[in-house]
Amino acid sequence: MLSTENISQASIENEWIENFKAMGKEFRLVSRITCFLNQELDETLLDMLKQFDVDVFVESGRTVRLLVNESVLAILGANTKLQSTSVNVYRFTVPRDLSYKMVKSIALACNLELPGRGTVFSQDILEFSKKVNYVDEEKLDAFIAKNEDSELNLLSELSYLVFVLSNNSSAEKLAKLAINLGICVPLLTYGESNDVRDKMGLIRITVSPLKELVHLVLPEQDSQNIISLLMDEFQMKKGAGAIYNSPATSGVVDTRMLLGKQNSAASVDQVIAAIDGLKNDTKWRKRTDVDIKPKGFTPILAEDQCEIALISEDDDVEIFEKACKKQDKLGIIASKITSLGNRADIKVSNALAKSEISVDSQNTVLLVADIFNVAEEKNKSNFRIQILP
Amino acid sequence: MPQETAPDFKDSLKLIFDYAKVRVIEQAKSIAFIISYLVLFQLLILRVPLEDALATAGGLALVVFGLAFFLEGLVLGLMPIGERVGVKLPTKAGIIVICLFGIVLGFGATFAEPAISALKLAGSTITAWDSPLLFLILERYSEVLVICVGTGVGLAVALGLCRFYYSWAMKPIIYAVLPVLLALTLFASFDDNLSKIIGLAWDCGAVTTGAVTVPLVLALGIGVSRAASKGSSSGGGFGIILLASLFPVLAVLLLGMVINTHVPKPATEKDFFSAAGRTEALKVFNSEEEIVQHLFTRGTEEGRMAFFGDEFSYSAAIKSLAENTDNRKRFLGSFPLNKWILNKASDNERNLLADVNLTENSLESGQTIEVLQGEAVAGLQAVIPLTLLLLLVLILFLREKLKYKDEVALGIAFTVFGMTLLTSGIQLGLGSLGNEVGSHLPKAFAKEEKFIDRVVINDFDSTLLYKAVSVSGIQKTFFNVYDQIYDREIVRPIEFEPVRYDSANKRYVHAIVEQPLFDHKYYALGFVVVLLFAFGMGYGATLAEPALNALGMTVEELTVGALKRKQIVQVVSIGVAAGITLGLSRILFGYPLVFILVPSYLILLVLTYLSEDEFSAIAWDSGGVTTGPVTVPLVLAMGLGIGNELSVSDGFGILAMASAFPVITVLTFGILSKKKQKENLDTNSK
Repeated sequence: MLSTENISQASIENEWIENFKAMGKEFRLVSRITCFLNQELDETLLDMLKQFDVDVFVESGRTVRLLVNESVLAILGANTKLQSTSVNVYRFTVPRDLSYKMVKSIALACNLELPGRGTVFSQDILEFSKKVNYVDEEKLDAFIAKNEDSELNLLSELSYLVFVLSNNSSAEKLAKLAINLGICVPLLTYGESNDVRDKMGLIRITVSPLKELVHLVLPEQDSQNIISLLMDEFQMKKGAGAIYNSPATSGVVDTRMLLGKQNSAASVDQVIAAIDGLKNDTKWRKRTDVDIKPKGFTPILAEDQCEIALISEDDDVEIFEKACKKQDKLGIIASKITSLGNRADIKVSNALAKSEISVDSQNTVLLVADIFNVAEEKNKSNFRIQILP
Repeated sequence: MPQETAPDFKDSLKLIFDYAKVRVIEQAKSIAFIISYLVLFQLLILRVPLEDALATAGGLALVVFGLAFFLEGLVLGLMPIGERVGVKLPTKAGIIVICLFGIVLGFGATFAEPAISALKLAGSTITAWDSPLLFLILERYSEVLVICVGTGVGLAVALGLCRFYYSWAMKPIIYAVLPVLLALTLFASFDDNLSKIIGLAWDCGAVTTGAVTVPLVLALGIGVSRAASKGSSSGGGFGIILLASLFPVLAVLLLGMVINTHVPKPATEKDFFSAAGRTEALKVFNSEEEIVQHLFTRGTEEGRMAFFGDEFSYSAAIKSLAENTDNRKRFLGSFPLNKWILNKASDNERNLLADVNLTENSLESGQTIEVLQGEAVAGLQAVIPLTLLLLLVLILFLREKLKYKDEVALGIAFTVFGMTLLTSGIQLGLGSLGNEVGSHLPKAFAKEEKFIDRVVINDFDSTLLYKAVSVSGIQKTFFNVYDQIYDREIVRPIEFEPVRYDSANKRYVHAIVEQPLFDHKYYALGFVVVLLFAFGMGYGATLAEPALNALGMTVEELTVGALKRKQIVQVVSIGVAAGITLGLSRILFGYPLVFILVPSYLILLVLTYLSEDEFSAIAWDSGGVTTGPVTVPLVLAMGLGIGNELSVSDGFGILAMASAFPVITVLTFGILSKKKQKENLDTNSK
């Protein structure tokens, strides 16, 4: 399933806002910040976030880079192999008007203008949650002011691509292709999908629920062509998985895709990062004006889609499944996450799940309503719903 | 959105076939190395043909299917239950309840997967005069030993859960516990009796965490760690197995110190079995009957002479083994007489029992069923109580339910079935192959030929003797014998030894012996061969360890593949191989275990200091899971074969080293990988 956003995000949002208001459920317009850093920088990030009252959710992942070693025998060329590094993927929401400052503060604190240190980006979403994240704008301003000498400029008009692969251990192949195409440092995570298995009875044990997710952040104008190129190179077949494309408003993208001995004063990654910073966007990177279409299998293109995510306790994925069932929707991907809550006692578990589904924007309101209905039936209220137009 | 429907019968069969094929092939690959290694070593190095190859092949097939079912059962049934209990426990119970649950689980696990039989086997060469304390603990206080070890494991699980609950770091716990253990070990090494239990104590730590306990405890730890974590950690959930390996060591050393107060000091065999030493001997045994059985099954001719006092009584007692069933039972217990003559009797005693038929019965087909039945009971005992405990806690106490009940039930059935096939297959296939190689291994470093059987020739006609001369002019006397092999008669010359000829009865006893692998000038080369064998065997056996594979899968999942199962298994296997080789060298060369144990753990302390906390927990847990159902029988077979040949007091210490060295290799791997990654990133990141 390939989703593009041809319809104005703002108009969809306005329609939802009216409907949600009619539902009587409290929601906020926020930005979701996603951040995955070199693990040595995690402490810096967490120290910074401690200053604010935000619920941070963490997922385990790994970034993949290509390690290039010169062969002992030069005639054999360079040895290349993938090198994986464990990362923690941090996600939290902030008021939309503060998202740019928050992303910039993180990038400054972690010195992300240097390639190889990590990626951070924000996406505008709607959120239903009991807890309101509070960010002190003055602190952010003070922090940015303290680093006013920095030449860091955030990129805008980015696309966030997520490839969900059914075939285990194919994620590395796709990640390598992404590196070879010079897209960005890919992030790999795991997810589970059970709704198709659930229809199979006990025979479901023969189908692994595990899915590999490859996350890429790239210039928005290139996203369609990159998807086509990747599908061709990867020889993605029918049933092999799904690709989700969603907009990211601002961010810093790690472009340090190659590791190994550096023979010049600056690497290509550094040059790209420097030009991105100078131009303040990534439009200069546009590869071609021609629209590239996949040569092989033509995907089912689903436009006018939106992502609905439920962040809840492990068990409460059931709420989402039941609500989706009512709407006859399949394709929930659930990932294990933990909360970095400042809990005083442990009566609320930090073992959480982030379950996501992509649905038609017309069905969004109905699905959200169903989630609330099922949750009420089960007497559950400790969850968040995030909607990404 | 397209609607999916349940697959039809044909599709279902294809799905099941593909699913099973992948798993069976994977397990066949995992044991391919150890099997080829054992077979090739026996055929090419030891030059001994395989006995009963068909039965062994059948046993190996059981191992492959057993491993496939067992691991799948863990993934479908046991681990999801463990993780679910772990996730729910902290939210619904206080820390005291969690600790109590941990103690009960750890204690129960020790009883469910009893390692005492493996330890008793490792200690089957122990003699009461040489190591009275060690003998007492294993033989008379074995139940107390299991309780102590169980308590140690229980406390370890409880402390491990506390660590997750309060998000304590792993390293301070290692720094607190390990020096205490090393200090106690050093203290024990200065006492004649306590020094002998050091190997047992550290081996107890190595073998207590069985193939079922490890994945359960891992899953439980991951659950509690997720529910209670204050920060993200891909290494969350690890560390309990490490504690469960260290605490039993403490428990056994303390038990030894308590019992040692009323145990006699080691003595010579002659003094111990003489009438004057009887009072001291009775402090170790309950009755004279036990003393005499120990004398015959583990003692030598010297001890038996001392026990019976004079030559006449001694000879009469030996002869009565063949003639008097009551005496045989009194002296040997259930030990078969033919086995006693082959392995325990001196030349003199063999001559006294020249009429006894030495032919041994091989494993009969009926025994395969018996083995399967016995292992099925052991499998049920290992899996069901622990699973029931977790289910009871989940359903009755936590009031939670399982989403995929059918899948979990199938997983539990797979685990029991897999465990039964695996352990039966090990006994019938892998174990028998290991025993064969182990029993022939001593010939690699033997200086003299070994008696393995005899042929009594009645009505021996001495006129058939003839002389032959060598090129150097040495003359020897020979006679010819002929054997009928199928329809062919083969004539072989045999050297005549006058001492074996009883001219009065016209009877010649021909001894069949096994020649040493190397000429006596080069017998030291045999030690190198044995050590190389130990390295390869340790490596190959560890590749197939189910608990290690379960840990590898967990690490791969938690690190999203940054650390691959294959990497972990390979690094651990190399560590186990190195550990087994070093542990075996102690038996071969007879130096104290403490000489290698203490330095190894001191190195570990340094490496732990240099490693990250999360990785330390993974590395230490890797050490705890290595000694499982595949490695232990093979190590024991090898240790016993060599131990009998060298008459060493015990075969302990190999498993302890096999647990320590994987931690060294995994920590080193972690430090080097991290350093390399950092170097690669730092070239232009800083």
